[in-house]
Amino acid sequence: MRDFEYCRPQSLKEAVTVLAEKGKGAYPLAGGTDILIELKRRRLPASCLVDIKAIPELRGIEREGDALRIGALTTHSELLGSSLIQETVPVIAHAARQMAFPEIRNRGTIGGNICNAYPAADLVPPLIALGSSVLLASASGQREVGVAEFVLGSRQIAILPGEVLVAVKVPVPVSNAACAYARASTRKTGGIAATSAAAYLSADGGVCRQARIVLGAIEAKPRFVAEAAGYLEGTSISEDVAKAAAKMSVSGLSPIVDPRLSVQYRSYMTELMVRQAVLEAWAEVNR
Amino acid sequence: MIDAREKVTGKLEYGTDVVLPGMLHGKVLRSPLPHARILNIDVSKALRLLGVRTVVTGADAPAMPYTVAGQVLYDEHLLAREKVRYIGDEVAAVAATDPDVAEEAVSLIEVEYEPLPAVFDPEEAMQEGAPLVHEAHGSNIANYMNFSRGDVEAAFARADAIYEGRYVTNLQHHGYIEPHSAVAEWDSSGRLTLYIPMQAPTLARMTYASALGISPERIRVVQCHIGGAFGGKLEYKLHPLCALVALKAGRPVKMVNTRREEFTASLPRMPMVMYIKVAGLADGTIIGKSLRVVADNGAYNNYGPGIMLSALLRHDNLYRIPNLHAEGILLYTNKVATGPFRGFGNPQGIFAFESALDMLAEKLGVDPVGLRLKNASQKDDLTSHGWKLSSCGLSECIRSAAGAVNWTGKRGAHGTGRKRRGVGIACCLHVSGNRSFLPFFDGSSAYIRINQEGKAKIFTSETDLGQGSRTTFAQIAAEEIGLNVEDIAVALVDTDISPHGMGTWGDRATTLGGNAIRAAAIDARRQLNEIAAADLEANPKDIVAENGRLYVAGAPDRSITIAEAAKIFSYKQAGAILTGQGSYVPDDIVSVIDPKTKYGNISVAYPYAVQAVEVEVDTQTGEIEILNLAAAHDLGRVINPSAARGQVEGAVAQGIGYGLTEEMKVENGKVRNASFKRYDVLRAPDMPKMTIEFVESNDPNGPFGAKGLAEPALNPTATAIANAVHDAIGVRLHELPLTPERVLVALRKKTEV
Ligand SMILES: Cc1cc2nc3c(=O)[nH]c(=O)nc-3n(C[C@H](O)[C@H](O)[C@H](O)COP(=O)(O)OP(=O)(O)OC[C@H]3O[C@@H](n4cnc5c(N)ncnc54)[C@H](O)[C@@H]3O)c2cc1C
Repeated sequence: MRDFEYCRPQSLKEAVTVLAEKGKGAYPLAGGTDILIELKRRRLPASCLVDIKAIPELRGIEREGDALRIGALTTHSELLGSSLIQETVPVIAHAARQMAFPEIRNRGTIGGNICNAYPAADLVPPLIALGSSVLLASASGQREVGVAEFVLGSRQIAILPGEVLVAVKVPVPVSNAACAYARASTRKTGGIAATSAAAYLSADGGVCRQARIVLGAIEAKPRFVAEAAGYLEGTSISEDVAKAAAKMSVSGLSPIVDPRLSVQYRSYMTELMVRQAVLEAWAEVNR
Repeated sequence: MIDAREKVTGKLEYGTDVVLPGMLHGKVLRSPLPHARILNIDVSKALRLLGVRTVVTGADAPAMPYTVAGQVLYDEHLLAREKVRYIGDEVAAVAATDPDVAEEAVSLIEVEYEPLPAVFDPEEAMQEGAPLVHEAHGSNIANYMNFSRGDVEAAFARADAIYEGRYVTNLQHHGYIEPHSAVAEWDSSGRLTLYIPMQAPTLARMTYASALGISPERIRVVQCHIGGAFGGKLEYKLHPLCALVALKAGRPVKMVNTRREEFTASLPRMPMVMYIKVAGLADGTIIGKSLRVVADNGAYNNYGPGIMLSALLRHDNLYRIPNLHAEGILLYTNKVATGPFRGFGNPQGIFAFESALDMLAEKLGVDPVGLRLKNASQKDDLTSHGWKLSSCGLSECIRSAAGAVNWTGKRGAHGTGRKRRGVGIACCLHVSGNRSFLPFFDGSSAYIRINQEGKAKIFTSETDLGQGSRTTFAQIAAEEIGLNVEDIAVALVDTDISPHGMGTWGDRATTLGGNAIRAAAIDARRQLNEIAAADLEANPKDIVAENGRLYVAGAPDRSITIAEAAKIFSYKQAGAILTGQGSYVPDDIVSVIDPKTKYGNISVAYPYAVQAVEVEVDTQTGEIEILNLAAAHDLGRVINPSAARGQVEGAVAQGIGYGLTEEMKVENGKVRNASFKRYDVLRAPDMPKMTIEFVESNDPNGPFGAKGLAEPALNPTATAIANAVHDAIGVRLHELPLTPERVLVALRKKTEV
């Protein structure tokens, strides 16, 4: 590990000031479950870590109108333990539960999961499928960006120098809509996703009105599969429909390399995951 | 467990906890290329970094090559000279004031390489014109074996059925949690002390003396508590390399592997390609078997020949097979060197052999359990390889394991849905100490000192790797001396103090070490009896010992404590401590195995393990779930039930990993999954339901009848799973691990046919 500076601002204002001051080599430090590994592998040119854990503005889960505001520092354990999330967007709790082990879930944060922009990040596909956005703050003000636009590729995000992710805004699905998430891994517990899929569906009179399918882990960047979603819209979803949509989802993929599994197997499993997510979301919508 | 309290409170100090005054920290520069000539090494930038004390390169290391104990192919140097042979090969090392500075310095060393063509596949390494890993050796074949018993061709000619197949096994990492580490210190007289977590300190002293070009007498090895070893902590280059760095630095130096280094440059399990042929008669008699093994040594030899030998013949001794042929070819490749790992070649050979037996049974139309029972070796057999089975609970283990998974009820009843179920079984036998390594020296010895407070301390060279052998040793001594286990401690090995001994590997600790400790305890007890007899005016023969007291048989009131007796002993001799000494030399040592034919009895006692599993295979995803696993083990005699169960549970976890998930993925010589994040070892929630049965065959050569357990418990697991998958979905998988993808591909092939 190379030498770096460390500071721990007590407010959001202080944090963005420090980040602006320190410039390019300054990185926010949340749970540290990703960034410390990057530092140890000498892959990150960090000269200063700005520990944001003491900042109260980054905490808390609240309902704001028809959306949830989830503070950036919310840990995965908090996500899966929150009754508010359980009642409004259970898919987020479900995705958080798939991740790693209790030790990591107790430290890792939603903000870190998004900003890390790891292709296999579990929260990202369902957040995108739900139409979520991130709230960013800097010394010069605040802005809101859709998660889909924010995540640019593997370890690349549309963050500007000096910005901090403050919270995630998640629209709460209306009563006839639901979102499901399915992922495949090489092991039963604690494995990183080899491929994953989130499906958001809304229905009207037994027919799918709106569909959004997002693939994770398989490509460098979460992928919207518009064709398959379009195919679902206007149909009454059956096993066969889901199967056909799943097949469409994997045509033209350019999978990233995963040393553990072949491209063929991961594409095949992606299909299964889409099928599973679509059928689960549909069952939920029709409950 | 005598060290349970220290362990669960986190107080036990491991190798990485050792700190010496003035100690520096070292790091290794490793080769980024699989095969290359070193043209130039420039260390000037590294040396200019603040905090760097010294940098060593191949030019500073002894020019004489070395190898590990008992081996004859001298092919290693502490640092690469002229050439690097795999990604991870040691090129240079640095000592600095702290680990981060040392790491920074390593990144500043500039090495100019000329890349050479490399070879990664052992079967390609065999071909004419393949790049040579060791030019001086003249060929990539590090070792070749070829031997037969009976007449295998005649057996094949008269067989009712023959099965032939090709089987391939994987590169598995030990996955111990504690990484390799070393702290080295030279004193002013030029004597080296090494603090290392090491399974065999005596072997370490021998090997490192030759690596450093000094006499063994100048080396003291102090064993640290070991945080898991599984065969991976025998001789390891980091230890003598650390000594070399410390010598040049003139200060004590500590070196600790990163996890990435563990996954790229330790000594994982040897992969093998195996061609097997088995022949049987219609009544289920196995009459012949031939096996050709192409084994992947990696870049250096280490214990390769022994590992290959055990893959070639060990499993033959399970059954009464008169006609056998074995051919083994051990090849150098430009990959990480492989080495000892729980099972030592046996799991590989068993995968080919016990899979083939199921296929033969199918061809003959007999039940796999029936076939095994019909041919199983029995007590007092002299096997085709000259092994004397002084005890044998194999048949009982087969019946027990099969019964525990309801074999007759479940075999063949796989269902028709998406998920299919099946049961499978596999057997193994192993050794309790393997005398073919250092034939001139085997067995074990021990001292036990009893102080004036009646506390005993055992000195042995058989290390505790975390499996609990110190507790077992204390129990054995307690039984003979009449002390309580709590009053007995077991010293860590220190080659300046402990008796010379071979260390813990090959399942030798309990059997050989236990026998030596038992002998030492008997010697101590004899002396105690004499003192007590004199004091109590009785005959030494009539003294009974129990709970720390010595008394006259039939008259418990006429007694003294062991502490009092030890005090009398000590005071009479100006403070000398009562010491029992014992050794165990396996008898008929003259029959050590013939180096050419490999015929001969290699161990004093043979443990057996049979595992049966029930699996469920998801034909859509290819995933295999283990529903139930039954492990039946003939370990001779259970000395510590919870330690014994622990060994089986841990080994089964490692065996399932070997069978289903664990594989170091090497692409062009580079390990692509060099972290626990991407290398899938099993975790507690992944473990299946499991039943464990111990069969006590009471071996006449083991202490209180005990034989080995730790290695056999892993050997059959992967193969039992493969056999169960075959029962469930009717396809035979020929390659470990049995990944979902391989299952799907095999299923697809089957439907195409
Ligand atoms: C063993 C292990 C297993 C794992 N398994 C999984 C898994 O199954 N699924 C999965 O998705 N992830 C997994 N992870 C990755 C990781 O735990 C998660 O991505 C976690 O959510 C990261 O959060 P963190 O708070 O620890 O981030 P940190 O490590 O603190 O930060 C990560 C990155 O985000 C930036 N950052 C963090 N917070 C902010 C903010 N508020 N504003 C701006 N930038 C910020 C940091 O500067 C850094 O670049 C695993 C990690 C480990 C070590």
